[in-house]
Amino acid sequence: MRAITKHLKREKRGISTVIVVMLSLVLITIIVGNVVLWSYQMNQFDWERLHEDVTITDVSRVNGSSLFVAQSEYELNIGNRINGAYTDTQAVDDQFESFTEGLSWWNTNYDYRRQITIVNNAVSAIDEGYSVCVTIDTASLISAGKTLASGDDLRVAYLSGSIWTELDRDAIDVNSASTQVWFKTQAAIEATGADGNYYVYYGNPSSGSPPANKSNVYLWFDDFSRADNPDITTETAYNVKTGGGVWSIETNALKNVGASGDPNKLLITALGDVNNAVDMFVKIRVTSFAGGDASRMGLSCCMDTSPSRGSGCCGLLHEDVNSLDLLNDLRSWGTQGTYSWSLNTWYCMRFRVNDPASRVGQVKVWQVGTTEPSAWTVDGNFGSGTARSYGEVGFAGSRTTDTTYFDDILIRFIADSEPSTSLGSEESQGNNRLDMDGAFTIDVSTYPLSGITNVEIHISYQPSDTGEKWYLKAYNWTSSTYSDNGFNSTAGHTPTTGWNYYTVNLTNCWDSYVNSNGTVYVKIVDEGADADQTLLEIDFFAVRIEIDGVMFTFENPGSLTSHLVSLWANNSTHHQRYSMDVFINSGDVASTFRSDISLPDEPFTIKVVTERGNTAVFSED
Amino acid sequence: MKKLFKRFLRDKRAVTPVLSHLLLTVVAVAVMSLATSATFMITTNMRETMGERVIVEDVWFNSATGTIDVYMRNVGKADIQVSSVYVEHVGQSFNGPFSLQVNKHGWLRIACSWASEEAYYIDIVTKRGNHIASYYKAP
Repeated sequence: MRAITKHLKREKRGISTVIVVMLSLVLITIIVGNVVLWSYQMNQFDWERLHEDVTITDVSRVNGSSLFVAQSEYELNIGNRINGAYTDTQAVDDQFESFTEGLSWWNTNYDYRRQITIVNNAVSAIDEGYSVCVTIDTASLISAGKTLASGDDLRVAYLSGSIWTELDRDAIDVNSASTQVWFKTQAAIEATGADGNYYVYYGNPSSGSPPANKSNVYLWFDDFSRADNPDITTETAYNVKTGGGVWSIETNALKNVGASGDPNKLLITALGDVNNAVDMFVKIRVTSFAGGDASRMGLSCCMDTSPSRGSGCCGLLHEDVNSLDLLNDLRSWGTQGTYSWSLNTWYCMRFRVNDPASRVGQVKVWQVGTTEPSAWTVDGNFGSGTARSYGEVGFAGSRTTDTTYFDDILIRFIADSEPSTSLGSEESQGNNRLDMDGAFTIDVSTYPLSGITNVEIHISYQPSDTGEKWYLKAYNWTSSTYSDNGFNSTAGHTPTTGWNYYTVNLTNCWDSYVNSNGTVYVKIVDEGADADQTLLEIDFFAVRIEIDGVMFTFENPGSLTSHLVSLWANNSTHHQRYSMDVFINSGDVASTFRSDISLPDEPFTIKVVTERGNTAVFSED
Repeated sequence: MKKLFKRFLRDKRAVTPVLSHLLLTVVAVAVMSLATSATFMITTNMRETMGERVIVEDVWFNSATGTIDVYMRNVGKADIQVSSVYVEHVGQSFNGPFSLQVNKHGWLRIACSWASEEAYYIDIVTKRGNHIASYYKAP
């Protein structure tokens, strides 16, 4: 090698020749290598072809029909399911599914109802037990004779699954255009979620007194309508007072006679710690007022034990007859507002602390019998004292010898953004209708749409009322609506007593009613609303298709996936080729329905050719 | 320029080695080009011949036309052209020129009379010399 190198260094003239020769040899090597590679590929092709194995196991004419029954429960748009299941409608036998016309009705003594939808507008879920209000125009209902002037037949019912529960309700301003109906939620509602399981019913002229226990409508309600009691702390619900003063029940009201002490509170111990924001309402009347800083009376919440039990946030009539102030007990006075009030006069007071950590509160006062002002009298803060958290709630009494009466205490939960309610349209019990949909799926993998020549809807049913017609419709995928346009009959079916078999043919419009995946939505609907609540029993409900074609079954016992590319249908006088595009995995059996193939007269031979060039033959004598 | 040319003509000592070097290079290039081209041509033909795969999907002794119709499919890696067809070793006319590109298929119609129940040896020869041949019995 060294000698060659030396020689090349000495004799430089030969180098270019060597380069040319070497380049050419490289090229020749590449060309020959390409041939070798090509040869390898062809050998591999031949090997695969040798090992490919496809057989035709069956060839059969399919020119019959097939039925497709519901594979899921029917969807009721109007009406009720009584018993049975969709599986009972899959065969003509003694099993059937029953439905009734009409709506799921809480109490048939009530003729009308409207759905109440509660929307949670808060950023967090609201728990059950939240008091919500729906506004309804009872003046119009009363003038139309649909509800009693007393409002006794104005009821709230809650539907949980199929279980109805009547709720206590508080109807305020009955026979007005904006009657407020308060009730308590029966289930939590997720943030920004809604619950439409509440209904307001009316239209029962013989209605008795409604359930209207406000304790079941609000978090707390007490009108103190009971025997006089010189010391209300003997009652379990109010068994703690702080500071000085006397709390008693007198002439169906709560009475406080103040004394020195701080804070002077009566706790509603029955509620314990209230760990959510509340709205507190009370009627208040001051009959004796000394004036000065110690004269104070009102409502209190967020009470804890710092520095002593009963310390909390307060909304108070304070110091003189022109002041309405916010106080953080023993920490700081907050916003001091102005409100002129008089002795011996009943006033309404509303107080709330929505977020104690922010030290913000609202209070308003208005005279009983007047409209509640929309704005807060004081919408301010509790001063610079340390903020409090949620806690006990109760009444704030005077620190001097003032006398104050409280009545109709009402406490309810509030959210940072109150839930809203809306009423649905009026529904009448007399509107007996049945409207239900079923989903039927044609197996297009076995019966491709191209092979379908006709589609029919079959139903075997027995209605309790033979006086009204029943219609079968299907969902038109083109117009996106249920329709019977193009059906052989759109006149409906008038049933007779007993079981009826009714069929409609979708004629040549059937492809508008069958989705590309084979889904057919079918609706059965009655003629219209009537007074009879018909019971409908369905024994059989199906979509029937008619098909015409040939079913081929192939088997691949080989070790390679086969691609069938052509099919031959031959007899002695006729040879016809059809293109195919069917893959069969190793070990698989595949069936293919072809509506474009008509088998020749027997004896015939069916051949399939694979992409590799192998042939499988099926002979029928 | 003229002076330089005159000097080059006067001094003949360097001409022979340069010419011989050039000549050797030209000869080497020419020979190797020839060898490379020949190799390429030979292997291309060989490769195409090796890549020919044609199958007969169907043979129809067509009584309506009196022909033997052969449906062929090119499953190979090279286009093919049928150069001649023999039935019982006798050349026959057909619907030529008959060519099939890769993955294409079509009827080759052989103008040949046939008789029922007779077996015929049909040999289809491609332009590259490959044979697709087998016995087929008329119905």
